[in-house]
Amino acid sequence: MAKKSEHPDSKLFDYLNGKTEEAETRLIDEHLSACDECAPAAAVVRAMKNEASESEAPSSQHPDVSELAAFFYSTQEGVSSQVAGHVASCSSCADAIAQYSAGERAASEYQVANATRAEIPAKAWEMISEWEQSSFAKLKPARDVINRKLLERLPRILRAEGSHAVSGTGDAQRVPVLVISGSGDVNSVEYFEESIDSSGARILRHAEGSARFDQRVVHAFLDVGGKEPVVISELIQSDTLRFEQAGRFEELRRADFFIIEE
Amino acid sequence: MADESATGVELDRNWLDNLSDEELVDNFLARSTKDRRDAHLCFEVIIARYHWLISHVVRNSRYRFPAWDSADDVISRVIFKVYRGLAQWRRQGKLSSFIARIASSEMIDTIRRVGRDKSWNPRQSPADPDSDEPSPVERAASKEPSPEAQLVARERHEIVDRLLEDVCRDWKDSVIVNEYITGNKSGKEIAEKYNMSEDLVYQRARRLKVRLMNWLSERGITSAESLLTSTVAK
Repeated sequence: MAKKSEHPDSKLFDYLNGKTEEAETRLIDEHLSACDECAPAAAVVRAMKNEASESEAPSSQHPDVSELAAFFYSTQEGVSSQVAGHVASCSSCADAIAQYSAGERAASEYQVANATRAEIPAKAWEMISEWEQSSFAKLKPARDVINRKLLERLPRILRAEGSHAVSGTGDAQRVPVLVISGSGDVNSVEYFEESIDSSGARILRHAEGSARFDQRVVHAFLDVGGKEPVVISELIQSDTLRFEQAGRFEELRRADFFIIEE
Repeated sequence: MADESATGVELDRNWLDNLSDEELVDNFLARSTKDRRDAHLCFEVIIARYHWLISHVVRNSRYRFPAWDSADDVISRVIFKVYRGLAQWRRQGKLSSFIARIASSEMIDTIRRVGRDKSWNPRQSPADPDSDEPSPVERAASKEPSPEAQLVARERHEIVDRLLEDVCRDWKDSVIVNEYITGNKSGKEIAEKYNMSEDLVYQRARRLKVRLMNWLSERGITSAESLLTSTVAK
């Protein structure tokens, strides 16, 4: 066996990409035949290249956009290992990271003083106005949303059923969303995986990825200490709920989720 | 600094123009629950400062939008989401960074939404008849793999995922593995696409190689076969 030469470092990857000169290629060939550290690494990278060319992660497995953003903007090493692994093998999520990178570069170079001023488009004002007038995304006293009879029963039902919360996959917590009748009978319990994104919003995604509850209203019943409970409501969109304001209470003791089914 | 001006004094546009971003956002938040008209005025000043940035991020994106969703529509949605999300701005970062993040997220969300419509390919504009890319029909597999083959493929995928989760520590590692190590891009192309130096690409690649070799050695893996068929990685 020939004497082992120096490890090729990152040149190994150029070699595996077929981008080394002939002489360099020969040297690395010789090295790989003698090095039991580099040879397995080269074989595994070749296999991963094959895997990558044969398959693309289905869209249902893509991390949520907020998870991707948190991954890109995180300054801590070692966080979101699942997202890190996914991005390493998914070209569309790598493209999304490139988008964040371009956006961040534009932001860091941006000089307000030099920018051309512009008005807010009418369409944006329309969306803002609709949102402000909508009953969604506003905190309301629970008595304004739930009838008196149900409100009397609800805390007991939520405490009993809410205790079924179990750990989910990865960092997500599985939380129950009760499907109840107007009089407070529990028809079924749906499980959602809950995570908090970097902006503090609570993200709930149906654990089975089912879209059968899309466009249904989910209410979050928030216990904020000794005060009157409040409710915030949101629509399920693409099997996912996003409660932007639910994380804003410093005194929040408990949050339970339910759908009223008539 | 939400000062006494948030308690009833009529707002003056010039006064708002001279506030810092932090002061402006504080004023916006303080007024949004009391006087929506004043809150809107604060927001107008914020967007006057950052409209160009939003427009730049959207219009200079690598993504191509379908004809029915114009850049103007995306910009309007970004502005709406900035309005809705300003309360979430943590003051550690610059407002420009927060706004660019919302703009980028909206772009990605839009592309994912239209991507669910399989008739539209985000990587290839429909108005590109001269493209050399094979058509979806040409790309289609001749037949579906058997359930057994699918199971094996899924297991292999899981093992590779576990390896990648262990060796990639941040987004730079992930994209270098994706584009350079298992992809076929050059360091120069990656540096341009992700706004990093070419030297950093190679430096990270060297570190990744060491981590990969350690990972394999700790598990006694000596070949691709022993990785993809064993349970040591599980």
